[in-house]
Amino acid sequence: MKLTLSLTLLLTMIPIFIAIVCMPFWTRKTVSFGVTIPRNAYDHPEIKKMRKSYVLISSIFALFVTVAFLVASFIGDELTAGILYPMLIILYIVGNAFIYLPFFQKMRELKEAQPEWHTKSNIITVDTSFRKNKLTYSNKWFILAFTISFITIVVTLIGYDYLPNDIPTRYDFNGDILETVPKTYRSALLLPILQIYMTLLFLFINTVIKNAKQQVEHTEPETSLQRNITFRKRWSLFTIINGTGLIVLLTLLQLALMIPINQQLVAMMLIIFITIVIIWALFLSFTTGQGGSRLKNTTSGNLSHKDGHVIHRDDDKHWKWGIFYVNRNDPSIFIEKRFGIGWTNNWGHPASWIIFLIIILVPIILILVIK
Amino acid sequence: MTDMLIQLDMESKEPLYTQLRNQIVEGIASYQLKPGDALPSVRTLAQDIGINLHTVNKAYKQLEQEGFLIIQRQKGALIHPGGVPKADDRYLHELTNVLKPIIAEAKCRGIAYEQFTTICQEIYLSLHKKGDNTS
Repeated sequence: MKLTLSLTLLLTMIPIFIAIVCMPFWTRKTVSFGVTIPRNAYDHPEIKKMRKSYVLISSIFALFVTVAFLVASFIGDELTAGILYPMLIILYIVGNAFIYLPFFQKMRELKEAQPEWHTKSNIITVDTSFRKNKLTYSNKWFILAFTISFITIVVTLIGYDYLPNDIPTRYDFNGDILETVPKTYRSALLLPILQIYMTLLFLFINTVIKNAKQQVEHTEPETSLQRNITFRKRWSLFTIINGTGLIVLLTLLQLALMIPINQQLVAMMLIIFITIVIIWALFLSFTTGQGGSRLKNTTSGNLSHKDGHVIHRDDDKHWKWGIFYVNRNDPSIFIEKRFGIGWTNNWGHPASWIIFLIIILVPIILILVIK
Repeated sequence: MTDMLIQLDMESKEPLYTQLRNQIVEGIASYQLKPGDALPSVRTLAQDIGINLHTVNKAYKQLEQEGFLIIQRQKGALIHPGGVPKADDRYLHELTNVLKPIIAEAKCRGIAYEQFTTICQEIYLSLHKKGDNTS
């Protein structure tokens, strides 16, 4: 495989490694390795030590995956890279969950051994005016992506005769075609219909960002909510811009079948685009943190708050391994992740399962209909 | 923008809807919630707190009955724009009935008349303070 290609791919992997290795520093300071802790306990020597050793172990694992990727890319060709690259990333993310779990377990034991962290009361604070704020950018911005997708459909139908007799369904990283299906109206429209599906998905994500559960840090209610608004808005902007960008690129890919646009150029643009998205995500994670926890306070954070040493909202029992939220009594579907950046769903809510099934099944059905 | 923080104790013996009702009444008394202010919808508030929709609905319904809220189909729950109905004879009678056992218990436990009125004063004045800087 070409050296430049494997280096480019590696370049896109590194931000993902950094994001996952640094995760303990990016979560809320009231949640450590998936376990709620008092705000003041964040600097507890034992927890500090755990963060350091997590970074060390996760880095070694990242290094191992990098070496594996480099070795494989010297032996293999572009075809293997196309399979290897996503597989190694998935391996890294899944493998890392196994690094995380012992830390979660240890954190729970540590918390159990600290009775002074617990209060007899379990107080929940909410701001009644939170949702009067503008939390995300408008879903109307997706009109642009929808319009582009519909134009792609129209152009495909008008230019049907100009399409090649074999419609490509898979490309490698050089923009060379790996697999094709015979031209029919169905197969020709696969890509634009996928565009509509993806636009709907981005619209859905933006709605999740808006509706996800409000989380007040009781030691600094006002500033924590302000930071949370910034957090939501930044990721909303990220979703709208990159979602629309991806739709534009897919349109180019479709157009390249009808008019002579350099396919390599489109493939190159796609790689550059992915690189920008990943670096942007890393930058947002670093500067904003989970829930806005890394943002500087507009007023100074009150660490000496009278309740800074106790946990207020302790819902650990609803968090399986600190990863999956299952709470049948909670009517909310979306909630901030504990160990990670972004949101997750309440598996105790039936709507969760329906949404999950729809997102998974639609592309599978689409592809089956074509083939 | 109003900034009313509601605090509920999940372990308390007092039912959640009563706690919620009392918190909103306190918010109105201290001018943190002003006439005409919109409250979150039942669903949104239930989701943000993480409790059953019926609990929030029960609190809102009670507040509506007592004249603190009006619930409109389109705008949702609003703090009564015309203000809370003024105390009448019936309310005064009710207030006396509610206070009597509380005062009786305090007296049994040796709380002097002056001490009791001081506590009442402090609570009453604390409700004034909160809204003063925003209004």
